[in-house]
Amino acid sequence: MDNLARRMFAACLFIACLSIAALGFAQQRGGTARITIYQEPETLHPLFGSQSVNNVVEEPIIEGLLTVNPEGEYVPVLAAEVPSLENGGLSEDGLTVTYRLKEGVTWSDGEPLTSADVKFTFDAIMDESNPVTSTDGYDKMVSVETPDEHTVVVTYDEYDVEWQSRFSSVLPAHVFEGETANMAFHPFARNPVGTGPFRFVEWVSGSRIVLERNPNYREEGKPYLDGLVFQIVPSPEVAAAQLQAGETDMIWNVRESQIPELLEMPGVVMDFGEERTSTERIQLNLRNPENLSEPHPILSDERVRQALQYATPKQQIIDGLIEGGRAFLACAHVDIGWAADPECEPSEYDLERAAQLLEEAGWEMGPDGIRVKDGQRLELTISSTAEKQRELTEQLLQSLWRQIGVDLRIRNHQSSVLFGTYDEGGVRGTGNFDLLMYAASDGLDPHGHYVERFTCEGAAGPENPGGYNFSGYCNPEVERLIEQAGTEVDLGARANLYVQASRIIQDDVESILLYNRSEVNAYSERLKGVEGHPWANLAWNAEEWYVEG
Amino acid sequence: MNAYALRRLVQGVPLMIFISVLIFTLLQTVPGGPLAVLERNPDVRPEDIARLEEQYGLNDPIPVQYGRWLSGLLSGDWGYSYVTNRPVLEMIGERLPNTLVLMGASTVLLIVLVIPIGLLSAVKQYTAFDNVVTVLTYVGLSIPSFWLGLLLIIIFGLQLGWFPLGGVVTLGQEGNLLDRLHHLVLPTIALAMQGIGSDTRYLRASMLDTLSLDYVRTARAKGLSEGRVVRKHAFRNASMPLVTNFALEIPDLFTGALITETIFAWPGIGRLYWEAALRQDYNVLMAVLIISAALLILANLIADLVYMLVDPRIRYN
Repeated sequence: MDNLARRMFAACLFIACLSIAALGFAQQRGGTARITIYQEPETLHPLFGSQSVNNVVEEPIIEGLLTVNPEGEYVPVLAAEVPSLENGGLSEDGLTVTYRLKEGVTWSDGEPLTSADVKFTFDAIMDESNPVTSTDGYDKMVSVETPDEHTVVVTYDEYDVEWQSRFSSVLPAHVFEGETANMAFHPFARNPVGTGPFRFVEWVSGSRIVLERNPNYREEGKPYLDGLVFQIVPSPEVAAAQLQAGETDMIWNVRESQIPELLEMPGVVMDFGEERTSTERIQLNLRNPENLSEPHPILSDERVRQALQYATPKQQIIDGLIEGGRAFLACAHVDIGWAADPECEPSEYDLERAAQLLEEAGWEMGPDGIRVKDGQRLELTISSTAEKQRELTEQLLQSLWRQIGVDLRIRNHQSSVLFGTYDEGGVRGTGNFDLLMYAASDGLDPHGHYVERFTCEGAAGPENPGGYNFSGYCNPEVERLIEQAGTEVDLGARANLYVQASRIIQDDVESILLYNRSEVNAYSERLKGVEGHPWANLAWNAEEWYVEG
Repeated sequence: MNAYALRRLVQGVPLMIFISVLIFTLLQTVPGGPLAVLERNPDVRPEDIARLEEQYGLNDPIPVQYGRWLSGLLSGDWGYSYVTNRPVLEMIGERLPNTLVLMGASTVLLIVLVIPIGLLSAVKQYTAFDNVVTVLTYVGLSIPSFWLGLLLIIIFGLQLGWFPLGGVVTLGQEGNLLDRLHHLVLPTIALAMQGIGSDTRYLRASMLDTLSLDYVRTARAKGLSEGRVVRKHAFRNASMPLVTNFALEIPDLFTGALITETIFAWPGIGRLYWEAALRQDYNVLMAVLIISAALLILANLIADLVYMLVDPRIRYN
């Protein structure tokens, strides 16, 4: 070839190479994402500890058999598929579940994942020396068999309605050398090993937890990031300043008061979405706070409760008092997920109707503007924690309800006193309230929620100090529906029953539901691939994240 | 002096025991307990709580629990945290260097600034220098430390970019001493500010009192240079209240740097103590409180011994 041709050929080769390189990964590989958390996890062992931040950090490290996708459907993770009636994984009576594990999955240290690990996890949970947060569901399992290395057969003695949520974390038996006793003291809590996209590197107490890419991760080419660092910064103002200065890439669970500031910050994305992690509600005590075996002198009348609900301007509270637009109208206790009522409508605000209902209930306007019936004034006390948002809401209701003749007194308490259990003499636990305003959240499967809060036996009191039904709600029809739902294997049938129960509960106005608030995360624009998820923690899809620029 | 010091140390022991009993009993009366958070979790059933209570020995009578704790302490086993299940001593040991560094830097800054400024301010009373110092010290001791900390971070960290926004050291630079010093500057200023303000005023007032005494006039009359009069004669006597202040301030920094530690994400004992208090992690709380009490008793003893050095008239028999 002569000179010119040679140079042309070289140029073409060069351009061809460039093009191929450019066509390569749309996501750049490399980089580290720093996530700021305001609390330090107690432990990284999935079976222990009670703080939500533990799960936030565990999420990219440890996986389980199944998980839930953002649409609320169960999907397989370490299992090859979700056991069901169709594929034979679930027996007709729902008492036998057969999991097939994915092939070729290894732990981050290279050891293979086998069915023995699942059995080990079960043994660890049931080992009495372990202060496991909850053995619910596992105590219904009669046996966990491992016919071969990739098959696990779980047999229950009674139907566990939430069976899909079991084994959400699988422990590596080899790290513990097969020993399940006293696991809480094992170094695993500070040095976890899992199958997730990232593996643990180090934990500098009070400062940070460092993770790096898991070279043995089962998805080829992922994660894109080299590492994740969880930085512990207790002060939310400093965290915001760090985000602005580029010293962090993401802030977990931002405070409400910071949202306006963060919305203004250049280069910052706010993750609100439709995620709802907790519902703020005003629970109405149906029992007499002074004597729990008697009905409440005022609130046991359904018309009064309905009147109070009509007198609550839910949308105005959200628009006017909640900063940053991250609250959504709540219409039922369970209003997202497969068990939600698709036709649920939030209550309306109608002061006149409220006044009318009170009249019908026999409460007549007294000389001081407060209604009276049988010599008793319509005086109620609302209790909550002393947070600004809640105080504002209480004051709003106080002035509004006065217009319909209700004398609302405000008495707030410190959180541990308000939420104290019956044995501690807590306000909520002892039923010592008229109206109680607080937020509570549900898991994806509503069954536990319904059983704990809306059945007669769940009523908290001297016979049942651990009960979660603080209002003393007891409706035999609802009881029947919930019980039946607990025996159904078919999800559709269960959903139907829950919806019916939910409608009755709403009509009974057991609580005035105010709004759903979501966990809000703020992150830098350079971090891509982040997606919200109503039931999982923020790093649930960390294997998809990458940095740009 | 040695006999005196020894006697004081020995007297400290029953005092420590009394303090520990008091604290232990007080902790028991607070509603809640190490399992309080779990009790509010609907997924945790009463059987689970009961099982955990047995495991942790929380059902035993209080004197038994105290006895168990005390015997553990004396044999070097300071117990395990209910929250992290790690040995308490290990948890304290991790954070202790950070606290000591901050305490040390803060004390150094205090001494380096307070003594010359306090002295000069008294000697040059009512001059421009004194007036400026007076204003600044009042400002310094009035500013709340959390506000000052945030202000320092935002101005010097975020806007000017001169200093990092919190933390002990940059990720990956753990061995770099300069990097650590860089991170130390702002929290030290925030922590020491109130002390600097108040101690400077104490020293100034004390010096003014001393400078007006007869023997100072005598020293001047003897022809000694002003410098010698001030430094060797007046200051030694004026420093007594300062010694008292320092003695009480230093152990206070052990757990008292909580706010600074929170703002600057500094993992020290203050935050450990606070988190343990919130979660009612009894073993950690007791351990930190005992160390604090011991530090305070020790600091008082050292202060008394320093008095003897400073003022020859003071002798204990």
